[in-house]
Order: sequence, then C-alpha cells, then structure tokens
Amino acid sequence: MLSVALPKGRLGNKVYKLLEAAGYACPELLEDSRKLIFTSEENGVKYALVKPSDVAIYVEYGAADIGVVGKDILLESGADVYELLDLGFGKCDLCVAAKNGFGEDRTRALRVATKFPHVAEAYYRAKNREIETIKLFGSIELAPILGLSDVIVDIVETGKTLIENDLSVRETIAPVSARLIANKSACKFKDAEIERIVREMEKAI
Amino acid sequence: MNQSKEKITVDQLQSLYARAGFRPYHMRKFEEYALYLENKRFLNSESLITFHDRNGKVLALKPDVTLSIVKNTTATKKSPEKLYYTESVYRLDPQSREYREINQMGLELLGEVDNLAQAEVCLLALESLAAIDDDYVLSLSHMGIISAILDAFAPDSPGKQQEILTAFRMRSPHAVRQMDEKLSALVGLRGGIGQVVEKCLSCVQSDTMREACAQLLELDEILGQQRISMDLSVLQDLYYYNGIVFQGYVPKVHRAVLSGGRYDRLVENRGGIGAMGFAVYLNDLSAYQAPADYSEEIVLQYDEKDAAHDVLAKAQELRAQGSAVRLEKRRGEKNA
Repeated sequence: MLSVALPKGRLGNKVYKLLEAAGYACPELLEDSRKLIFTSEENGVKYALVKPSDVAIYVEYGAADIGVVGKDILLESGADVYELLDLGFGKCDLCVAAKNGFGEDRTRALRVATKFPHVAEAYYRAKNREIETIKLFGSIELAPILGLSDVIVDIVETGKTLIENDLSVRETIAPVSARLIANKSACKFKDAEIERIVREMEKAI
Repeated sequence: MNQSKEKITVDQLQSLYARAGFRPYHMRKFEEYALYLENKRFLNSESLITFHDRNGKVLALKPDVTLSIVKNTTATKKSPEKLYYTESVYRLDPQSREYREINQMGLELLGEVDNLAQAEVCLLALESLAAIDDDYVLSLSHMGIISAILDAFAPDSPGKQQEILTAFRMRSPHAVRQMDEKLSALVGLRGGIGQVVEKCLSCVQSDTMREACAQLLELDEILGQQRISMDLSVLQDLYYYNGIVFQGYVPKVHRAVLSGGRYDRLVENRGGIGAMGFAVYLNDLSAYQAPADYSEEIVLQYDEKDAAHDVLAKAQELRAQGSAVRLEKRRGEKNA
C-alpha cells in the first residue's frame, strides 16, 4: 500500500484526476465530506488530504511515501526528498517584482517582502546582495505600494495582478510547476511500487 | 524492564566493531573553534555553539567527531588506525533552526585503504544495519562516477555542475533533460552494481569513470551482497570524498540512518594515507521504540496513619518478587 499526500484545493483536484487516469482511483475522495484519509484497497493507495504547504514535510518525514507539491513550496521548504517527476501543470514563475520605475538604492540593504523567505535569502546570498526579509502571508503586492518593501519575491502566473497594481517583473528566480516527490527511505523499500506509479502518471500526463 | 532500542544498538555495534579490531575513541565535548572553521565545508554548516576558555581562546561544542580523529591521528601507511566512537554532536537542525544534540556512533579507518579494507568497512556498515533491522538497504555509489559525469557534461561551468548534482541527489531527470538527454538517462539510475556500472561506462568513457567502475566491480566481487543497491543519488561533498560512498536505510526511519564513505581528501597532507568511515545516527532509532508501558507497575499508596517501616517493607517484599513498585502519598479524600 502506497500512501500519498495530496494538496487540498485546486491543485489537489487536478492531481487526483491524473492519478485516477493513471489507475489509482479512490471514488470516495470525490464525495463531499470532512474526512482527511481515503483508502482504496483494490488500487493499493491511501490518500491523505493536507495543506499544500505541508505536503513536502509529510513526505520528508515519511508520513506519506509520495506527494505532489508546487516547486515554489518545495524550494522554500528545502525538504530532503526525491523529486521524481515534473507534472507540467500549475505553471508559474518565482519572480522578483517592483513598482514600475523603481530604482534600486545600492548603498543599503534591499527590503524584500515575501512568502518565501528562504528562497529570497538564498537568491540574494548568491548575488552577494544584503537584504532585509519581510515575511508576509498574503497580498504581497501591497508591500511596495505602501512602502513596506522595495521589491517582492512571489509567484507570478499571468502577471495580471502585477499590472493592475502598477508593478512589473524585474528578475525570474525559477520556473514553478507541480512536482511528484517521494520519501528517500520509502524509495528503498517500495521501489517497484513507486516506480510503477511514476511510470503510469508520466503516461497519463 | 525494556532497554531502549538505542542502548541495545550501541551495545551490539560496540561489540561488532571491537570484534573487528577497532579501538574505542573518546573525546571531550568541545574542541578549538579554529578546527571547525578550517573545515566548515566538511561540516556543511558554520553554525556552532561557541564559548571562550579562560585565556580567551574560542571553543565550540563538537559538531562532528571525524575532524578530531583526523587531527589527532598517528596513522601512517604502514601502521593504520582503526577507531570507533559513541559521542554526542551538536548541530543546527535545518528545519527548526535550533541546535540539537545528536547521538552518533561511528567508525573510522585511517592508513592504507586497499580493496580488502574498503570491503571490510562496507561489510561492517551492512552488519550495523542488520543490528538495527532484519530489513535494510545499503545504497552505494562512487564519487569518481559523479566527477567523471561532471567533467563530461559541464567541464567548465560550476553553475551547471551544481544543477547536475542537485538533479542526481533528487533523482530528477527532468531537471537536466534540456541540458543533455544522455545525462538525464543517468539520473535516478539504481540497481545491481554490475548493471549500473555497465550503463555508466557506456555513457561516459574516461579514466576517472573506468577507475571508479573497476573499484565498484571489485567490491561487488569481494562482497557479492544482495543488500547493496547501487544508487547514483547517493552523494557526499566532492571536496572531501573521493571514492566509494554509501547511505544505509531501514524501513522505519524516514532518512538515512547510516552515512559514510572514502574521504582521502580530508587527510591529504598526512603522508599519503587514506581514510574511510561511517556514522550511525542513533536518535532516529526511537522509531523502533515501543511506547513506554507502566501498566505492570504497582502503585503502593500510603498516608500518615501507615507506619513508614511497614510501607517500605511491603514495597521491598513486592520488589523482591520482581515487580516494579512505586510509592505515592495518598492525597485528596480524607476518608481514605
């Protein structure tokens, strides 16, 4: 039996459809309920619905054998897991954005507002640029408008929100999409099972 | 009384290593900070718990034992040192960003490391895993293979080399597919030594690759072990490790419970000796620990009215019969 951490919400629904097409259906999951664990004995899977930002942790600690997570969250968590497959959907970019016409003052630390402090710190450390990280939980675009930060590090899908707020992308840090991840220890003891689900999902993409 | 899995394992491993002629090594809880600063790449971290001695010298709680062993070794090519240790190390936990005390056992061989010595260290790693669980896997690779791959696909680009290393470590063929299809076919490669070596040799032809593969085949021939799985995702720091590297897994622990390899580059300036060793992470063995069970314990209650002598005598009598007896003063209800 393979345990799978599925992100709750839009991404999770898409992932489940893919898993269903790959032969890992569990119809109970589609019913409207408050349950968090769903098992399909015949298909040999157990699904756990978890918060998208927690998937990498569940998998790293082996509470789930595999899971699906956005590359943005995976980079931020720094989880020590295998990333076996790029599922190719949920595409966007991790970017640095600022107000149009922003000029960087290089004599002081750059103030960066973000939901991704580790990603931002690693990115600017590599460039040897001192920053002051301001951790926010939502509506990151507001920060430069209200003067809270100079720039933001955030995911940009279509760029519409940025345009509407008079912001624009200055640098792209990394492309993002949904990734299939796996626990390292589970891969040693359930190699064939995990290999099979990877192959079937790859076919179903 | 149940002994903890950690303690049982420590006893078993100490006896295993002693029977193989390794000698115990003890050290203080701290070392000069300078030792760790010079080798911060080996530690993968600069965050240590530091303090001053009375002369103002900076000391640090040891984050590692191997560096101290290497610093103090008297091993030469002719007279090797074989040591094992059981020590606490103090490291920053990357998830919680707090310091943790980690109990670790380890084994180091310093001196001439020939094929037989190398195979023996691998065998001891296998036996260490067997002491923890009947089911185990030793995932093994050779840093020469990854060196040869980096030289072949990204000879002059440190940035690209980093990308390749990450792709191998995370088994992500898609991360390097655009760089080279042949390269991406190597990522995630695992299986029997012979089978993986064959694929590596067909993909990259260089002296480094041939030498690494020859060593692996030799090891396979000496050990012929079913529990060894060659796995190109096993990587250690290229700066220190130059030969066979491995990680050990047991089903109940979510990460490698054993890790090590050949690290000649750390002992480079010591008269041409070689070095190989591994560490076993004991903290993670708590996964094997049954929850504490006190249901068998007898609680003997007493109050002011009971004669102290009688209470103790009763407790001792029960203990002599083999029970665990815990004395507690009766509280609350007056009428008891």
